[in-house]
Amino acid sequence: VAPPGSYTSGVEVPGPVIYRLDYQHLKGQDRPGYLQLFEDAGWEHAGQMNNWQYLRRPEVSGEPQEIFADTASNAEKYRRVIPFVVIIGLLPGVQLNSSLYGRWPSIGLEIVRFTLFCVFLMLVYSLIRIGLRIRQLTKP
Amino acid sequence: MTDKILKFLPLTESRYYILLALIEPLYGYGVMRKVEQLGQGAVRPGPGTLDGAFTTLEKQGPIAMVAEEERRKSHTLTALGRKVLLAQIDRLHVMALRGTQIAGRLKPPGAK
Repeated sequence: VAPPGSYTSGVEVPGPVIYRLDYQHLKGQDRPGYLQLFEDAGWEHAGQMNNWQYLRRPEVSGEPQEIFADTASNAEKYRRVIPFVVIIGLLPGVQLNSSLYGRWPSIGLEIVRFTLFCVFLMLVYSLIRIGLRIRQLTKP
Repeated sequence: MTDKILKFLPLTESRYYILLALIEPLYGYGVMRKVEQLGQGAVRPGPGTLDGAFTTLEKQGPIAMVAEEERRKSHTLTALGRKVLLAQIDRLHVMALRGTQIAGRLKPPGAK
């Protein structure tokens, strides 16, 4: 029995399996071509979550283990993440400056405000981490 | 026009081979195999690199989609792509020439 919170795909793959992540916002018309390209190259699309694409293949020595050839294209993956984080970060950011606060002092609003502030901080933190990762990948 | 070409240079090794492969229309996995062949196994682009390259290069102009069959898109070089590639090849010529001129002096004395 799987412990709570764990995830099983329901597909049994014998032997070690490599998982790789790509970040792509797949619009309807791009999706089939994208999946076909990975399939042709021997990668199975295991699923997606918030534009993160999970690709996997059985680990066979001598066969490719990476979906990116070089750090330049891997860094581009992280650059694609930034606009999405910024857009999501703007929402709590704007809410924090709302003129609603302070007009009617209430503990409920303060809790909402504190939560939004925490979310905003987390998004700023993730932006910094993404930036550092890109720098790490692109520095000579 | 020159500025438009220069902004693509220098191409990364994988992008360079991807563009070379697209001298004729080729679909994704075909490009992958052609690049491995052209680079004599030194460059294995991987589907993530290819997808990113196709999307970016198609948007910026050096390649264009020419056909779509059974979910496989074929791309080929545009006029801009040909110019970018020629400019890159010119640069590589100079790099290789200068390198060869210096190479003899890099070996320790007595070595063949």
